[in-house]
Amino acid sequence: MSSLKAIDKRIAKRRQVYKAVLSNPFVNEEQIWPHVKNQQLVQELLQKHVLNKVQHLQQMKVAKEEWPFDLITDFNKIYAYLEQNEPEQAKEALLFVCNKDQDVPLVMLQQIPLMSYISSTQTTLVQLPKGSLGNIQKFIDLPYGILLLPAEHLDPVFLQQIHEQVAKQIVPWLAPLKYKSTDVKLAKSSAPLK
Amino acid sequence: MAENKDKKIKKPKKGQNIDEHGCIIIPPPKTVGNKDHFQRLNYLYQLGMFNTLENESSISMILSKKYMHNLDIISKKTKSNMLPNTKRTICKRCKRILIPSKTCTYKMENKQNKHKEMNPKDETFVITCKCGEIKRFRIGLDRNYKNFYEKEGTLSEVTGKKDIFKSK
Repeated sequence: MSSLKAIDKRIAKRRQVYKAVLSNPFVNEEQIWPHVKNQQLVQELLQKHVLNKVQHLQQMKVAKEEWPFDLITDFNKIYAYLEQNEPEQAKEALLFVCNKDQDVPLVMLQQIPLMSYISSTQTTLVQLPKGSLGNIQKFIDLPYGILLLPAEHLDPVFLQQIHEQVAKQIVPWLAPLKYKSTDVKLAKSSAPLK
Repeated sequence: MAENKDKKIKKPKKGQNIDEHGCIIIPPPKTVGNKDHFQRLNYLYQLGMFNTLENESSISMILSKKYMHNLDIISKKTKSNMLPNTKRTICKRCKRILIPSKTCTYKMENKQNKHKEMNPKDETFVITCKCGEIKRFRIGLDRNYKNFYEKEGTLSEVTGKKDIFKSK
């Protein structure tokens, strides 16, 4: 004998329906976020060359203005840094993003690849593995899960190692603009039975 | 009365799968209707993007806006839906394509309350278009918010014949 609830669930009330929706031909996350060969190695490099130094400086109680390298975590400051137009000074920066972690707003994350690509600053976008946000927050407060390191005062070996690990950011629809075939997707939903 | 009730209850047909919510599971269709409308929308969007990015003259910007205006009307008239992340890239007022530092600016806002304290729940992501239109996303309310289309398992690919106009 089965319960009334079980019987109720066995009786179909709704049916699955599929609605066609047009996907953005340009928002292909796999393409936009550059591939990182060895994410663990990148995290270790960041830990060794930046975070450990930060911890040491904090222990020494050195004011942030006197640190040997710049470190930007605020979204507005990062946007301002990337937006500045100074073609004479070819700037370079590393932008670390915890895009696989919880508590990082998705709306903001979706804008970052385009932001870094459009910027006149030569930005290397580095996606960090899952769980790295918690790891970084042990050393510095990372409110939006993004960390910008201007390359001016960074160790050249560290820079070179990061460049070796991260593929070049390719946004195919921005460089030589090509027509992309229509990307129609199906949204799974349900509708009541008549 | 009880007999009548029993008659009304539809028993599942053979081979029909019902999930735990009492919903008949149907495999996704292999083709999509109104494909030409989707292709038209896709083409207009890309044309608009091309005119916004490649040429910085005012004529191409006007052209781009016109294409986006057409796209909006066509999608409404033909009831061809677009994903929210596509729609979010178009300004609702002037129909510009929103590209950071070119046609729009981004800002993270968190205003102080009466007691001059910052509430993390008031955090807002603001996109301001060149025309002055402001879009606000209250990201502080739920940082892990995903809309219906962004949730896992909602979207599936069309398994049948692909688009006839392929990019080379």
